[in-house]
Amino acid sequence: MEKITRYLKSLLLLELLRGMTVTGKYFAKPKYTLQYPEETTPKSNRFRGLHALRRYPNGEERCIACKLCEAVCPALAITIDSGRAPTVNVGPPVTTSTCSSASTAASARRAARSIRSWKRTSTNTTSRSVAKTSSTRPSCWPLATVTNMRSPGLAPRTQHIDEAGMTPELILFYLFAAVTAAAGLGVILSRNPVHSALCLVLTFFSVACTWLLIGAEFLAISLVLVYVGAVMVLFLFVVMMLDIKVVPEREGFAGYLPAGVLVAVVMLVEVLGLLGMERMQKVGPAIDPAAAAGFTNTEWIGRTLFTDYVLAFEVAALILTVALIAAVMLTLRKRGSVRIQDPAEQAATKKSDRLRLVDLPKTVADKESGA
Amino acid sequence: MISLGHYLALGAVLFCIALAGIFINRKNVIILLMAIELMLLAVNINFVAFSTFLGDAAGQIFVFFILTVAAAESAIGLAILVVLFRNRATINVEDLDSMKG
Amino acid sequence: MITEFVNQIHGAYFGFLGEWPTLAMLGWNLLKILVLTVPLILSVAMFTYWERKVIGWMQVRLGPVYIGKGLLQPFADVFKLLFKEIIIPAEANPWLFRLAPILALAPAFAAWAVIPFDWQTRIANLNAGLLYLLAMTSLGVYGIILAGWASNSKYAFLGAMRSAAQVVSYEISMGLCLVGVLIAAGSLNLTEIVAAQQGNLGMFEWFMWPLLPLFVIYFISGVAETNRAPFDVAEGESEIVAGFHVEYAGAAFSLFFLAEYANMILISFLAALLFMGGWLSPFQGLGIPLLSADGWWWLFAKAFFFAFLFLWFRATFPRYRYDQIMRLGWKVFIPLCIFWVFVTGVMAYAGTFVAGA
Repeated sequence: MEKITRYLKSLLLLELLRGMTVTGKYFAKPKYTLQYPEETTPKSNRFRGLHALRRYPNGEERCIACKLCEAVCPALAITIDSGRAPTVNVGPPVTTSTCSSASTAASARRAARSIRSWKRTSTNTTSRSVAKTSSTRPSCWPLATVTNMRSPGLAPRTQHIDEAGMTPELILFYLFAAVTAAAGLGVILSRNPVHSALCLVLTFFSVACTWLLIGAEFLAISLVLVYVGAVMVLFLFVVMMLDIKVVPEREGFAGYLPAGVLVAVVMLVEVLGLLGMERMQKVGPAIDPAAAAGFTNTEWIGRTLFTDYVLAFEVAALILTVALIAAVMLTLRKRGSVRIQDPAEQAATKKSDRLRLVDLPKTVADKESGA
Repeated sequence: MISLGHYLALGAVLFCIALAGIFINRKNVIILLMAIELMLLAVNINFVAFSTFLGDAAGQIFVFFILTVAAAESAIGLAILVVLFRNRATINVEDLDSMKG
Repeated sequence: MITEFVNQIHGAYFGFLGEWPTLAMLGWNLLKILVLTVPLILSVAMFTYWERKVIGWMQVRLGPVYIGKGLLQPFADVFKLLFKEIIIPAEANPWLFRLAPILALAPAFAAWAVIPFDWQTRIANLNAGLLYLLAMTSLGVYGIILAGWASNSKYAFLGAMRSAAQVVSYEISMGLCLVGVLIAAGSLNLTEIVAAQQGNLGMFEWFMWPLLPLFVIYFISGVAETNRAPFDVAEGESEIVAGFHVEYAGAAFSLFFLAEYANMILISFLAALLFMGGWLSPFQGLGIPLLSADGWWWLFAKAFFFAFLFLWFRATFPRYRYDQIMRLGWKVFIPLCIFWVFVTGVMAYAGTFVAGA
């Protein structure tokens, strides 16, 4: 029962809320900070001011080195050396009434001013110059265009331009395709696995952009989310954690290069030759099938996925679960030598588990003192 | 206008790059895994293009499933890689020729 | 009124550049992005000021007070950082080292493209907006990993590894929370998600009531996702100096800083949009004269509250230990999320979300 209440308490974040009320209370309380040069605390009654050496109007010192002040100063703050000018050690500000009464020739007197008169002139000027440069105020109203609420996220297709011409979309497609191919080459050619992984990220990203061009919005964003956001982070993680030497892995590079390039080029020529056939050109221009059906792309996929492909969807979920468990089981290892904390157990610890109050008989103390 | 051919060509180029990558980097398991991801991506490009240009949702659904399976595959592949590196201190394919555990 | 003003500008602009529609569209989009990012950067600057103030106040201090009464302190800091020399360690990977801060910053800003501020005010109205957001927030981890790896320093690398594992783990529970929201709203579009929270019962129409556990988990996961206290082991000063950005100085460091704070504000806005009705008034449909009007000010007020929570957490809680963070994410949040997504499904089946909570 007690366990359940404790569990509920931690679930409802009661302790955290209590902590936040404490800081919240202090948030509103008056602050104790004293802005020292500008503000001062009330002075003690015993404060008589700072030591100073007084002079006549013509600049001559009034001190005649009678040494009375030196003799009477309780803090030994004054040393008078008759040969030279008297030095006043301004260290401890404990000037007392004895000092002033002893200063017959008014050699040491109360200085009305203190360090407080020091002004922050230099900082003042800088702050003013900063203020001048940053006079723009943040506006609260980020303007944007007025778009129809229901309009799809993609820019409307520019239908009016001739089909054969270079539409902006086509230019974008070529741009993304070029980046894709270049990044793909980067994946297989770079010497450092981290660079390869980053190039792969770029490949995925630009492919997602090409998908956006033909309205496959959902898949493009899921590609970025799943691959770039999760799988490639995993890749990078592993590449960085395994201290992989770069150079030795590349020994066979030159040997396999001709064969690899040959096979790739032959395949490319074959596939592109097929694509060049007349029939392939006749497949109609993209009319967004989702829009034709009256849905957004996401809705369109969703409806198909959860009606016709529900079984496959469940199987995919199962595959992911199996992969999750398999990955954990493969990499989990319990090393005997390592002591592992159990945070749940630690958090559930109570005072009574760790602390035992024992009544010690008085005789024990006596024995110890005797020994 | 962008035609189906454009996308298929992009897919073909990407697939061939991945293929060349497997040939060139025969020793580094991590690059091999990445090349496989590239191949799947090339296939996905074709699926998406066909699905959009032929107006059939099945293609995009299939890409969804490929994404799932590929994510699972790379997770397990990397897990195996980690275990491999832990036991053998190498990820060079040629050093993995012993049948003894 | 403002809409008309924007329309006028829009008309004038396209009248001027009407002969090159592609170019005009490009320029207009650039303008929109600029109009969003400049206030965002300024608000990040003011957020750092507010953070120092709030934490100061909670520790019974004053916080910054000198430069322009403290208000200009962030700008002074920014100028200081910009004028400092960027040091690249000798053994660092030069290109990745330079690339990493940009990779951290770009997704943090790109995610803002789909955030609606009003019924009409947004940069892009993506149908899969929620997915896009998830994708963008998950990209931010690349900047961290690369920064840690390219620095060629043990501390930076440890920080990066910690951060990567943490971000990837908490992304799962965050994604599951979003699944709950999209079941309730029936759409991935952020504007429609807010529209689904409309009703006549004021704030009780919001998703935060039926999805309360998901709401709490979402926000805590958001704190973990942005590597903020109490989940900031990625930069735990006491054990790994400053984590992934130890080796960065000057402007490069300030980019990381900018990305982190932009992400915090993003999470705040998202929490307000997804669970607290965005720009809908808490008194919507009750007919109170001034308070029942919907508008961007409500969204900003809610987002400000969440941003304040980030700072409140930082001032209150001690840093979690790494295994505790992982335990919380995997063993507590994910099962809870899955359970409540199931409950949400049942609620949706029972018709809870059709008329209102």
